[in-house]
Amino acid sequence: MTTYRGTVELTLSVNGEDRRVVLNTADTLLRVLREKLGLTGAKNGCENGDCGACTVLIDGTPCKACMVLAVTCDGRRITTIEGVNGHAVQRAFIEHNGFQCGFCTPGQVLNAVALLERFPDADPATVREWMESNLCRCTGYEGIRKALDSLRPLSP
Amino acid sequence: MRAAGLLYLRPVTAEEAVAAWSQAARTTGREKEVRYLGGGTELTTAARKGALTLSVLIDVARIAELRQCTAASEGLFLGAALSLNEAGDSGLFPLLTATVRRIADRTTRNRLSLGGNVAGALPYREASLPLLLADATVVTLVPGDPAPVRRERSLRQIFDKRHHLDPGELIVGFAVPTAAVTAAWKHERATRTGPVDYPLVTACFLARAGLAVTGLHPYPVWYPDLASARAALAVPGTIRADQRGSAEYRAALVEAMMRRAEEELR
Repeated sequence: MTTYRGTVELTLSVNGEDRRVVLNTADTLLRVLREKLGLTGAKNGCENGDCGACTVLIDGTPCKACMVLAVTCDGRRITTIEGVNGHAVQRAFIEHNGFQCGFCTPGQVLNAVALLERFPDADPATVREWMESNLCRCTGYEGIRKALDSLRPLSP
Repeated sequence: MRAAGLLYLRPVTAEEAVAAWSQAARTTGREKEVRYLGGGTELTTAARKGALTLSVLIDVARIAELRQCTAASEGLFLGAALSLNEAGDSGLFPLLTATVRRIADRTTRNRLSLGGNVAGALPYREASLPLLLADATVVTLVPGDPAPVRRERSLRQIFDKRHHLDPGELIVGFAVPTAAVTAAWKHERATRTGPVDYPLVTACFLARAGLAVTGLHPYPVWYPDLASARAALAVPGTIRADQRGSAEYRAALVEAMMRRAEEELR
């Protein structure tokens, strides 16, 4: 049985690299990424699982890092926005103005990356179901929708 | 989340998890601070707000038996550690699929576990509605001497306003009979704002099994038929009222949902 108590040193696989990190068993993944590993792309928005600004991928699945204990992630593959440099989704967001202040953008992009990897030809209902997980306080949803539409093979 | 010296355990089997609970509860003397960890959404947010003190977390999310999702001639088995998306996307139980697809948002559902939603502290526990209608059997492990004891009981038997599990009892999964999986069904959900919101009311209907509703009270309720639901709705002062919706409005929503279900499932 795996056992950790209090402050422990763990290896986390982040963006394809094994990173040794000293963390507390009560630390969320968001706190460890931002404060221990310096990966500040995942944003601390609501810290309550509502906004999606802290979305990261765990084994390719979008998760809100504010609600995940880092200690549960050993042996998992964690991908943050720093790990998807130059992705087609990012280029589409730029081309279609899929952001305003940019605070929610890392979470939006990572969720969209996972969506299109799983459903490259996702229909609008599926896109909506997935992207409802991320709030944009600037209400820049139209640009985000256009960006994602541009990546669907059958889009006009 | 603040929990100094939190002990984190990740057992391999369900038996090991329950044995670990017994030992931790004995050692700490504070069994309410010893919790099973599935998706962790409720525990991490409650602990962050200071509403919950944790001493020991027993992570059951990777236990193979709790992650089973199987279909056989006699029915389904859905492990308690399946995420709501894993259980719903399997498509094995269409009413469950329709119900869980409206709980929270998709990313959050990647962490919310089936067992955690049924046994959680939040009032809605929508995943329990299809399971109550289906008369699902809950498979659990309860601490015992010298070894944990396996139990199989009807969810209806142990679910009255909340689940009635013994201290340290671990939900392994839910067995759903084939008849319930293939029966005609209907799911309706009304919210105050958009689709990602807590429900004003959620009602699930299953042919020959009645309806199960959440939102009317601080807990889900199963009614064996529409007549008993209507009788309950008629009792004054029993339906939840808050700034999101009055008791009269909630009752009217459920009545309208029942009328539509009568039409469609006739």
